[in-house]
Amino acid sequence: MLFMTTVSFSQDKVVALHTAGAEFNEAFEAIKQDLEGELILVSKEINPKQKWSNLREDILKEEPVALVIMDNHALNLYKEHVSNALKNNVKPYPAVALMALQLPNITQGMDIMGVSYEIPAVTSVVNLRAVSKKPIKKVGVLYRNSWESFFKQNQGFCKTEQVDLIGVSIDDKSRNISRDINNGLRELINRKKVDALWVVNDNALLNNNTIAKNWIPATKRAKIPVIVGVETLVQTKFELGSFAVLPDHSGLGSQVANLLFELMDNDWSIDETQIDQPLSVVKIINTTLAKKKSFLNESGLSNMDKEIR
Amino acid sequence: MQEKYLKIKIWQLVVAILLLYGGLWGQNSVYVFATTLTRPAIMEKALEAKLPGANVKVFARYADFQALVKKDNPQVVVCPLMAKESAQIGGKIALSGVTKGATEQNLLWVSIDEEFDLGANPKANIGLMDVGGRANMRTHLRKIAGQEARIRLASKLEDLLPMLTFKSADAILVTESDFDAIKSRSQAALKSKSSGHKMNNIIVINNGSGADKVIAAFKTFTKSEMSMLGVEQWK
Repeated sequence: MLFMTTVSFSQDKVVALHTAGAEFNEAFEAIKQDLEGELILVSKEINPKQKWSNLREDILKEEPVALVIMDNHALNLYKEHVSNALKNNVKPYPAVALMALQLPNITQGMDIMGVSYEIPAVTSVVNLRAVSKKPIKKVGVLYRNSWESFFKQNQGFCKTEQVDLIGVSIDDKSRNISRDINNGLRELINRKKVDALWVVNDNALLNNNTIAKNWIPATKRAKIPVIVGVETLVQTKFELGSFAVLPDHSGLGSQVANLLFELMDNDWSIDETQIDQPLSVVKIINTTLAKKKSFLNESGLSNMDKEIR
Repeated sequence: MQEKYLKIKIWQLVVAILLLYGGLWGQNSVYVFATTLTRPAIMEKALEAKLPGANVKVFARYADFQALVKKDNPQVVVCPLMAKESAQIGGKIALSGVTKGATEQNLLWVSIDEEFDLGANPKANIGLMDVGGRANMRTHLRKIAGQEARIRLASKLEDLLPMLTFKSADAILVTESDFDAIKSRSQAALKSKSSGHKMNNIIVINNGSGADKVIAAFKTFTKSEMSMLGVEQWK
């Protein structure tokens, strides 16, 4: 006689804290797909007013082995959890973070893993070279003093690819940011004669006012590619960005799934902070502006994710 | 009267043949998972032009490919042999991709600045293109690099270069043609050396009735269409 037996394999749970939005969904689905069969990913949507104390019970119920932290607000909630746990001599949940701005700076000293949201200059430049018939050896960037370590790190990465990242720093306490942006761009374009400009997503330097008043007038006539990190800025009507490199949320999700597996292999324990650079990106080329600036190499278009005319 | 009747019959026959021909193409689904730098949308467009009426889907990520192949059971599947085995795709191998006269390629260790030395670093982080899911890729890596090697999976071929740039991998393990593709994009001091292992090229799988016509069309691909799939010819 045959007896049918049911063997159940229980899979550990990971809870993802995220706000609503298409980009969060894309990353969440990629993590979930990559974890399938080994770990269960549970979604916990949060709102901007939520505190850890409101979430605590819901998370405890799931008994997760780790958390996935999906933006700066979720990271603040996690910090609250770590602080409470340490006060009560309890081990906090290990966590993997993504889609949070300035992640390496705001997680210093925390036992956390994650993937930065900012795309390094070298990634943008390597992808630009694939679609540019002009050599890209010197790339200029404007940055605030407080971003010095970010600049230095990017300069180092660029060196690996034989690219000289030239920076002009602007005082954080500048009394005339418009004048400083104009001077900085003039220095990079006219005096340093850079082959391309890399525009960092820093609200203090890049906002509606400075875009209209400084960035567009200063770069319009320059026959060099301008790399931006926001899709809106690569539209023809603005005549600013001719090439945009953005995070690939599905790729970020896969990278986070890999980190969760590493964490699992290490018995859910984090030895030191580990924030990786993002690997996957979305590349958008504005072919109208690229032709106008005479750098478009049409054979490289098959590598682009999107073309804007 | 008889002539008019005959004309109608001939037209009916022509329409029937066209419907049958169109239907055969239309019923065919061709799913492609290839590790190249060409964007899936571009490859899809090029393949659709070669295979009119066929439902062509090109995948960049193994996870997406595996999930949909399982669900849709397409008539023709184009993928690396390892993906066929990992995703448990039935069907017969109809064509095997050939590069440099062989249906398999050397796997290379690629690193930056210095040649990779596995003996000196058995716990190295190794970057690999995911062509079979994490568990299978780990087994594959351990066969080549030993039990202590740590795996870093890339879901797209272009993601392997940044792994080296950002030092998240000590080395990547790639085929010769993938290395050529990566080298064409980079000006970094890339070093390569043979791992002593080989990997099969991409294959075309006959996975159902009506696939023969599509497979025959694959044989008419030009050199540039073949290179899009990462091979030189079919065997």
